[in-house]
Amino acid sequence: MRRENRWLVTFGILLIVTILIIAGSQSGVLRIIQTAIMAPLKPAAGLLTDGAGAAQELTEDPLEYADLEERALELERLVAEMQVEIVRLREIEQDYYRLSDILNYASENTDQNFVTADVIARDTSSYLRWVIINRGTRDGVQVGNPAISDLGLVGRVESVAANAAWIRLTNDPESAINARLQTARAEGTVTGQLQGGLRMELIPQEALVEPGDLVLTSGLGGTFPANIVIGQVTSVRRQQADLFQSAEIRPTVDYDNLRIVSIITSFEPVDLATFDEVIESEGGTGQ
Amino acid sequence: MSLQLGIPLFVVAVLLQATVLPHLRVYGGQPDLVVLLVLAWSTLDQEQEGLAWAFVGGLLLDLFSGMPLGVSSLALLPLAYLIGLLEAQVYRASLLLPLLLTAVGATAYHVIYMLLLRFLTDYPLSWSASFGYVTLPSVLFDIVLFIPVLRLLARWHDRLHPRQVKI
Repeated sequence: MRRENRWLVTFGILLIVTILIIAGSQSGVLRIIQTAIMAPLKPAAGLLTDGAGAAQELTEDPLEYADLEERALELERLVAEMQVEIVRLREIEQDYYRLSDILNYASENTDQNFVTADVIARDTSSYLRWVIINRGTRDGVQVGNPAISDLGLVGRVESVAANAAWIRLTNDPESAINARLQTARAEGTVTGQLQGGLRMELIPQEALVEPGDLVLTSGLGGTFPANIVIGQVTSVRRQQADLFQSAEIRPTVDYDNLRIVSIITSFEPVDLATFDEVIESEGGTGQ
Repeated sequence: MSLQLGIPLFVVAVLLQATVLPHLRVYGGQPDLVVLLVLAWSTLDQEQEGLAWAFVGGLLLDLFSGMPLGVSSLALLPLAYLIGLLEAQVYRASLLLPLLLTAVGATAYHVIYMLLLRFLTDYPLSWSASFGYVTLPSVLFDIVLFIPVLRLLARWHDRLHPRQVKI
């Protein structure tokens, strides 16, 4: 067979196999295989994520960098092992503060159950805003569970394996969350933007929205608990011809530096039965 | 590239892409290490290994993605096929041609990937925003990194497949 023909045959076979794999993956059949392959890669991914995050923190904060440089001079007399130990303890300290903030939230919301997880990787596609965590169905994590951090809403679990879960971040373009403005008392939908920000849409025209107003989850729809902070209004877009106004939101969570998240595995959704009662009573009076 | 060497190489590339490289993002773009490896190996190799690594590399990429397994493979396979049809000597002859190849190849990968996202998963992508914010910076990263990656793999390739000379 000629070389070009052999290439074409191999290309065709691989194309068909790939299409079959996509179909299998979309139906969830391949999840077990995915779990099995990911299991040995998780520790390495976790280590690399921690290392990259720590390195970024050092370069982003000049004050901290100067402080560390000063300390490094002091520690010149000490052995290399001690230096490694100090860096390690600093990491643990930061984790401690993050966890204690999450714990505060947990103690204030006793109707909710939490699973704390480490972010071990980010989506390899630059178009998606997803992260992968080191907890899965074995830890009680399920599809649809909300994810939070000490600063607010992180996203929602979209896919779960036995020992890992994929979270769609709030700023993913496909994310849409029912939200309300704390001061304006208006409701709308917060959607993610490819550029990393958030936009609140479908805000009624009559609502008085101002920069600085806090955006919280409304709890409507039952997918998220109510009153989790999402962000703060930075600008408002209002045109007379439009039915609704929209607002740009600055998220409170730094999605690029997520290290630890809490998964809310169970919560009391907003009670929509009240609305049923109203509808029933309205129906009753009309008869 | 043998499996014993290729699999670890691609695993390391995917791990870096999922952990370290997101911290280097300029706008929304980051280097596509796996795409670079596939492009480089398809350029160098006269056999069908480029196709095989496009398939394997794509699957490994999708392990760390919210998209269904196979989407990246589907975007990489046509590139590996088309590049492999051309003669490797063409690429070795000058520096400009590999750079042109990277620009076209990486852009094609991103366009195919966006098409698959849009039509397979109904992902709400804005074409202009995606191209300006993600595709362009990513392709620029890839152009800068392609020559070093190609040189490294060329050494490896020459060791594995020494060029035969007629005496």
